[in-house]
Amino acid sequence: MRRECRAILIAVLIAVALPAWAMQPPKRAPAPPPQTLPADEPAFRITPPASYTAKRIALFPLEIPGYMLKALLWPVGSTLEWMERNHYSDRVQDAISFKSHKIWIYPVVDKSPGTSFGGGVAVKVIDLFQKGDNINADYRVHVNLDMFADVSFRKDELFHIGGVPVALAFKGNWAKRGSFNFFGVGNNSLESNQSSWAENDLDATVRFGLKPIHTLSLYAILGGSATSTGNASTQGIDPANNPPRGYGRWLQYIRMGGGITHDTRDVTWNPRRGGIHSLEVSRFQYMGTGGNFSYNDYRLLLNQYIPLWSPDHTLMLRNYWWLEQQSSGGLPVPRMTVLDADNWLRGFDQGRFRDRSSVVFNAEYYFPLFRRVRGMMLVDYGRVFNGLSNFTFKDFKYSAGGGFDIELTRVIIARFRAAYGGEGVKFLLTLLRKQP
Amino acid sequence: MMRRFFIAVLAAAALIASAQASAYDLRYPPVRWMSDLDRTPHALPVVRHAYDPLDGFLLSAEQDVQAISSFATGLGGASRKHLPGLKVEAIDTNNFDEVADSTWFTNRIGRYGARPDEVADSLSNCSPEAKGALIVSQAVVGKYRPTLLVQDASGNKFAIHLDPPDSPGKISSPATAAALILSNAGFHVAPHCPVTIDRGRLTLADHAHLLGAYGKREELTEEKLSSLLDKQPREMRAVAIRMPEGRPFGRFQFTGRLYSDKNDRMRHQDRRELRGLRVMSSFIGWASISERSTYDVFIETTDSAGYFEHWLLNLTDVEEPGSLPNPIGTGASLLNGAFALMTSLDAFWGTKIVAKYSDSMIEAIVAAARYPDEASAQAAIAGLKSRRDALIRYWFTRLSPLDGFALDPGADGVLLSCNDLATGAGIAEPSQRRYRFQLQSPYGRAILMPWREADACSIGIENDLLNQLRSGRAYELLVQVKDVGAQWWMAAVELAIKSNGDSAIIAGLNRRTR
Repeated sequence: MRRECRAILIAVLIAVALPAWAMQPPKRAPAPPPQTLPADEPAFRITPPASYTAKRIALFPLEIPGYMLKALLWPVGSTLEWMERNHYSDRVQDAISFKSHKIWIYPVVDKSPGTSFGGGVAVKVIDLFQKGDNINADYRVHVNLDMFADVSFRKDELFHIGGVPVALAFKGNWAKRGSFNFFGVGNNSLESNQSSWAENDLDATVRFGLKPIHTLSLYAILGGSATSTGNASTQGIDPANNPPRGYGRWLQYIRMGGGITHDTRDVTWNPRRGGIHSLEVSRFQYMGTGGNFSYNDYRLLLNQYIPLWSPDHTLMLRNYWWLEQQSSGGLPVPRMTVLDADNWLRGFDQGRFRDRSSVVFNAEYYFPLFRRVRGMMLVDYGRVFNGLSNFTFKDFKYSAGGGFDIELTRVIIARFRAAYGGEGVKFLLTLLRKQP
Repeated sequence: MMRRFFIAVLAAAALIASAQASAYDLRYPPVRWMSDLDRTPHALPVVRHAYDPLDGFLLSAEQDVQAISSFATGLGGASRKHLPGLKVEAIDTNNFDEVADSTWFTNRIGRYGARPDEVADSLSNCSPEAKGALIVSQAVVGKYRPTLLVQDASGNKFAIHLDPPDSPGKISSPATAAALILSNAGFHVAPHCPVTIDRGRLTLADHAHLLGAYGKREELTEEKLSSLLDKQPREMRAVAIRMPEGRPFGRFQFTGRLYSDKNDRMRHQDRRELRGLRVMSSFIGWASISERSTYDVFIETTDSAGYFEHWLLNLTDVEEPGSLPNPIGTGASLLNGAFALMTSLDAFWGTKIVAKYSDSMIEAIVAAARYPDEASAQAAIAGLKSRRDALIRYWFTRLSPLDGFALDPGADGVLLSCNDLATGAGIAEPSQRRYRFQLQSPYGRAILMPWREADACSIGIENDLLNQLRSGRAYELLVQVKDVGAQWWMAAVELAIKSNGDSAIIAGLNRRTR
């Protein structure tokens, strides 16, 4: 008890003595050279107040993680600065964008947890027709011969309705995977039950959007998608002999729906304040034979950026709900929602958790390290569940980790993440384009 | 373990509490205008960079030269760096929330008011000699325009930024106007002059060099100079920027300190003049402001000692007036550590200066900038006025616009008066304003004079009341304003009043932000 009393006494003394110290007028310094100051005003040495120094000392612990990561990444930072000083980043930028900075051709790299290493080439075309158009395409092939291709086109002002611009966005994806992880269905699927199947996906979606006010977008969705699975492995769960619903056939859908997005972010890349909140509702109408696999799809995203105590120190909070409502025929397992490293539960392998619905909460803290390097720490908390009626806040899976982004050029970033969720440390390394 | 944790938390809380408690202090003499003693001579620091400091200054924004990111000036790099520290109020202000005259800033229009008749005179010695050769020592291949470093017959050095041949005045006139505005505000800005230069006067120096793509340095020959000026007419329109006196040292940073500068006592991002520059840059349309436009010189007072002066150079990236500004600054905010830390008090300080630019002052500045035709001059005037008015409307309605407080002896005590900057700027009707005053002991422990309302920002404090004040102790006089019919009073301005028997002085002020 005596110790506590002593501590309180010291704290009170500090609280009283420091302001008194701060109140002390600064000592008058020796007279300056006469020709440099106006004659009619007093001259004093302007110094930081003691209160300022006290604040910095008291809150220094908050800065320690930033300093530690900066020390760890010092070779990366100094290499980047050296490259900038010698114009190498400018040269690379000019080379891959033909100096026009409109057409970019650049490499992409992809290594997610639970997948093999992959790489490829990407093309980005910015405002080629000078009408606000934006085209992106990339192709990647992995070591195990999995292949992926994406193409997207966006035009912000396709035409006007009553003075309101209508935007068009097209997005197409193709994926051919020889081995896609399957751990079973449900939140408590075991890591030891890992098996895999071959999967082909094809998806094309067109969105027509209206922006009645600056921050609000309303859009309609029209598209189609198809998924096929087969060639399952016999390790762990055996999908071949005990096939899950929808396995081993082509699942073809037409998609119709709509959505609303409220976007108040200050900038789209590396925002500091504001948020993006969206709700999307779609009907996936089954077009194949041999059953009724139609379902409704609801996605709610709540994403908020909160500026912290210092410039570019930002806290990002995200909550994402993805619900699939099945029809009478049941929801095919290959179309179920997934929580994994690619879906914001970064301490787990690709395809780790699968069920009719999923929810994830993320907190990410971003802080600048070097001129083009941004560090981050993350905490993920999520689970899959079998419909809202069966949802509880128990059995959530969590992962925590960190990483950094390197802004290599105006359109390319290198991203590294490491996260732990109880099943070993998972690493993610990508070379990708900045969104959008 | 828990005990230690408890003690550590308690000590941290005490430190923070003490810091908060001492936020309102009176550390300096009770004068509004003062000088900072930051010209104490010290030895010239070792120059650690291998480049010519003038290179960076000559380059334009399009080239975005990171190669010469100033390793000479402390932290190096610039934006988006790890920037430790809290968002706190600026720490280089005096008791009256004003910035002292220093090697960074010298109060001019904010202190002495607008002087339109002196604007033209200020350009009298900023252009090269009218006759004689101009010796070119350096040239830069710009994406849109070439730039030259020349020396005139009197030995003065100038950077010459040429206008595009098909649109004379496009760069030189906005740059000149912007430089005049910033220098009249008090920033140390190298004089910018619109000039017309005869190509025939250009002569190459012995070791002239050309700075090409990716910072490549090569010898500047007559052929290369001719090719550089290929599309220019014989009489070239340009802006001449006179180089400041002193030894060039490179750029200064908007964050951190230059530790080798013994007079650099606080982090640059905590300086009010650099934070408030965000509002000024919004006024003049300077969105691309960065370390690229800054310049340190070392003024030698003796052979081996001197001090640093901090300059803004090369305003050739200023945009032509057009759209209204973002009231809280330009898009440069995220690229500049000092701008990112700007608080409403910093912005208010900047807006007070912007508000001093009267219509006649703006017209005089635009006239001195020699816009190529009347239409573009009128557009510039209209643009500057609309930006000024937008800034005033935004900031003078968010913080109390009361300023210029004075205590004068009256018949039966003292008379407090102040200026309402909102009515002065024309955004509020004097007849529709109400003011109220309250005198209290520190932290409001005892109310000595309950709220008194008035139609003007003026009130008498009687001798009886003054006699109650303990000599040498600071009391708080709260002053608030609102429009007639408004529900709420604006946040108060707290004046620190000190009494000496039957007289009193204002020892400082604290402008509340909420």
